[in-house]
Amino acid sequence: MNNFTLGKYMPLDSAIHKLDPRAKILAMLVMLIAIFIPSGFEGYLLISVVILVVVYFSKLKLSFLVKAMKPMFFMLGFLLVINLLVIKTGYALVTIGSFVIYSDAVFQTLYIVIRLLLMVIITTLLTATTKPFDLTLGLESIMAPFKKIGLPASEIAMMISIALRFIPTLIEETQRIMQAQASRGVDLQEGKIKEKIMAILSLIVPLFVSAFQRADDLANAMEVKGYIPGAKRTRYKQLKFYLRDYIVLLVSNGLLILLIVWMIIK
Amino acid sequence: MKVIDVKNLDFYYDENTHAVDNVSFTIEKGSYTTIIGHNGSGKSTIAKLLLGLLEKNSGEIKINGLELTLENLDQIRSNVGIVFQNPDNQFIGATVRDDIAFGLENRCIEPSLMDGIIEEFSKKVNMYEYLDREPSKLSGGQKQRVAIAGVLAMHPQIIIFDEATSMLDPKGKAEIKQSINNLHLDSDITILSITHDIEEVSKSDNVIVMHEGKVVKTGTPDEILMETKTLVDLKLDTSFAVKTSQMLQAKGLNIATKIDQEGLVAELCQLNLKK
Amino acid sequence: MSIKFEKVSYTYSENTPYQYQALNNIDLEFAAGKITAIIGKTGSGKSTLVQHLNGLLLPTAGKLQVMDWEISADKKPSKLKKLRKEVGLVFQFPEYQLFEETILKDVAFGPKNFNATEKEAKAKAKEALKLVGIDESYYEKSPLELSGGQKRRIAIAGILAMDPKVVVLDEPTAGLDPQGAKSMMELFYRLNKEFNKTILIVTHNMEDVLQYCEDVVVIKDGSVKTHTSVKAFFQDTQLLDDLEILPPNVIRLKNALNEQGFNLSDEIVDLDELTTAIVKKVL
Repeated sequence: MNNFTLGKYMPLDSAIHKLDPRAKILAMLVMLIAIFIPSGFEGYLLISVVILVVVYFSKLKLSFLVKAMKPMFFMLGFLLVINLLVIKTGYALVTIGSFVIYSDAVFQTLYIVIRLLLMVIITTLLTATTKPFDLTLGLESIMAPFKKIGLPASEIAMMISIALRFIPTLIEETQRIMQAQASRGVDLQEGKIKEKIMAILSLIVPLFVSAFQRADDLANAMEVKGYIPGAKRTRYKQLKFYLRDYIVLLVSNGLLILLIVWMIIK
Repeated sequence: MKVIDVKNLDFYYDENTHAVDNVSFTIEKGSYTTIIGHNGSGKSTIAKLLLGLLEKNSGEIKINGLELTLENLDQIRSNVGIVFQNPDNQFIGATVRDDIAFGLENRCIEPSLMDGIIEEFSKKVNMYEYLDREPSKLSGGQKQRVAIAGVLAMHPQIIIFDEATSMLDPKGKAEIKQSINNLHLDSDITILSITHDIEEVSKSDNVIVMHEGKVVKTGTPDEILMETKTLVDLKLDTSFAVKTSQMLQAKGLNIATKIDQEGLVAELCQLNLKK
Repeated sequence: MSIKFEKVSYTYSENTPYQYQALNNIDLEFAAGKITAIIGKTGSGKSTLVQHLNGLLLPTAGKLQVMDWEISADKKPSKLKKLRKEVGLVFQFPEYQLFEETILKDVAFGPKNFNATEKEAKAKAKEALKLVGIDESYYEKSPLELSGGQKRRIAIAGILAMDPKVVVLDEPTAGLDPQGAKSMMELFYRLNKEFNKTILIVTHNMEDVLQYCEDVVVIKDGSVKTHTSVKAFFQDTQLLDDLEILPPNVIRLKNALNEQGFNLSDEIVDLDELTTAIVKKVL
């Protein structure tokens, strides 16, 4: 459970960690769009450099990022093989015996690989440098304008926060139930299909029952503390934009515009 | 002054479960009342009814003279706080700080004032050093203390403790019992504590005994704890000191029945000196 | 038929930054056929210790012998499956493990996992339910319909239905009302005296330890601090102080009176004896 790299928050003290979550979320969205602008080799080089600079400032270890990208490697390798076999346009790059590797195959795969890896790095940057709770606050703030068209932004944010708060508790509870049922002879490795189904039920049913009880208790606790969904409430944690946040937005949007212009020029 | 006035309260969970049966009682301002009774006797149901979490079938509930209705729930709840049994299932915030802030946010307290309030009340329950701790890293007793801080921060006149120590280890139990005691001694908050702990009962001002949905006895701890036979019949714990006093009396010792150990020891020392 | 720990250590998350040593070179032997209390603060390692008894955890160092099974770090889990039938482990708040449609089915679940036929499993379930005081009328009900105390008894029946020789219980009376707690302890007493089962109870309740248990094992900071008879344990005032344990009422009263010069015998651990001695002194 503790080795889950993708999405995990790394408590470090970096410039990126200190940024307002809204700035980071918006910058991430802009960068994701930028990645999909077909700006050619130079464009991707520029994006990669910018991102590497951000990674440097985030104090995240490269090994950590590589770990986050690992799940993609297999798929990308597979993709490369397929493309080499299928795409036969462009000029011949290398000839091995009777098998020809075409330039289009290589370059198209390369672009896809770069895009995906950059995506992973950017999203990992966001989740690794932003506490889940702050991320929720940022999302709530960004969604706030949509309240006017009926989006229950604050309630959604509340639900996400509570879910996040209970993740460690639920993990512990799952382990406890597994131990309790194992003590009654439940064995997920062996047994016929029917036995395996019973084994899984013996884990899921108690979890659900307990989750409902918990939800009931929580609802009562929230109600007596005066929580009314949809009602006005103040917020303890206030998000505030500083100069550095504006700079981040400026740079990311500037980059996007630059790439669009570059694409048009080309 | 009566802060809680309940008359002929009736509540059914369903047609077969008459959880609260014609219950009436009053609570005086600033008093410390304990409610005892077997599991299922209706104690927690009454707590929920007093906070409007359940809707009564009939009868009257008045808090500070105001009758509890669907319309004034919010107003009533700003005067009555509750600490539930399960430390996890009432801990809403991501950290201690956030949890205490939750109630303040709901009451639209000015954000700039929140830090001061959180500091003040976390200190009151000795959780100031843990303000940025997550609940998964806190003990049951610590979580309950945070719950108490959160309740106190809203300045209620009445606090209900619904078996707040049942799920805690001895250390946690002691911490919370101490907190409740201090609350009673240091403030004029009215306390209603649902408990199984006889020691706590002996320290309260009044006791309400429930059995199968009905109030079967009310009185001072002295009055209630002395009736050992009744308590046994009602499937409740008896006070050790009372049991011992009665045993000593049966063996020929002329001693007054004491409800707590300190009193008993003092009595016995007196008798020993006279000898 | 005993249980023997030989230099058992257990480390959680070995070789990671979250490494934590919960058990430290434990040497311990539980006598068969006794009721032993296992005492320790939260976090002392009691739960970790107890999970070794039925092979849920394997020691990271050392080995233990549980009846016919030898358990060490390299033991294959599949070989330990039968152990779980012989050592029944009941966790805290076991009512959370109920899941079947009916009470009878839930209690029969354990035996079925150990190759009992449908018929055999049901028979064992009925016996176990009788032991815990749940009668026939409840068999077809949903376990979720009942009160907390009843659910707990059903969960315990679920373990007893496997007919284990050793029953290990982690705080079985937590959250029960005094009456419920009493009948629970009397059940375990009966399992020991009538059915000769070895009973191990992890508990904080010193009254229960005094009244129902024969031996005490104290775990502190992952090591065995003491393993002694209940009587000797409660006579050791210094030890109780060290461990920050509040002694049972009888002992506290006796100690309080002795502080005032009553000179009551160390041997007294029972209220009847105590009151007789007090009367003697005072009259």
